[in-house]
Amino acid sequence: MATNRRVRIKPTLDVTAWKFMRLSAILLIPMVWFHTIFTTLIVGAENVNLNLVAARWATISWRVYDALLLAFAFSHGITGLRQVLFDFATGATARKTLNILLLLFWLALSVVGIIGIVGGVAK
Amino acid sequence: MVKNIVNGVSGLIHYKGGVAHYTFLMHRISGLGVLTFLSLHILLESTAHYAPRLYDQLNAGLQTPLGLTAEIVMALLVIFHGVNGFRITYFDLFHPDLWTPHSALHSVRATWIVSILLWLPAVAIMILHSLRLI
Repeated sequence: MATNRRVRIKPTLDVTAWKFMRLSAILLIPMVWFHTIFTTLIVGAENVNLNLVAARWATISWRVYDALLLAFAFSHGITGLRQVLFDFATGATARKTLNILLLLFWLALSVVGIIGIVGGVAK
Repeated sequence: MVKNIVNGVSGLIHYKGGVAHYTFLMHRISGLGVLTFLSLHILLESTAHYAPRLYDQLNAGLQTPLGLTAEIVMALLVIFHGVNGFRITYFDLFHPDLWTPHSALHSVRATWIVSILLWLPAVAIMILHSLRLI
């Protein structure tokens, strides 16, 4: 029989990351699956083209959906990569360097993606 | 650092944890695979804004046998990562009381079965799409 007791855990960055992975998972499972089922099974990869993107992004809710997907999926991925890397990089300096590099990578691609979604298809 | 990587990777290969261990490994491999895909996906989709003329050319490159193969592999990675992620989240956040080594082993087996059962019809539909039969 498993015993259960509640303990207070100091909210360090790693604790927050642990929680974020699971909370974002709850959101991402339906969101990513709807996204992939829609684009690869309903629309089909052979029908994806610029006109389709333009038609989709003409609706604001599609843009909001894509922006949320980008924000949560990419953050979840970077946090997961951090978790894997930290199993190998155990030194304080190495971890600090990785944190900075991962933050920059996350920021760079997020900004590229968000500008793309907000800017829409250039005509 | 290098020693950690050598020790870590040899541990990942030699540890005899059976199906639960392969599930742990597959969760990491699929996560890294999906992140790699997602990074490229962000860049490719962004060309719709930054370089719209490039968009259809790049997409045409994906509508090839190699692109279809990548799509089929990615589908397994995404499905597995989602099903196993659900399993982990369910135990960790909602029912830590239900977690026992026995129930964990059961749920890990179920993860593989559910993932493959969801993947196979997806593969069939993707192949039919690529042949323009649907």
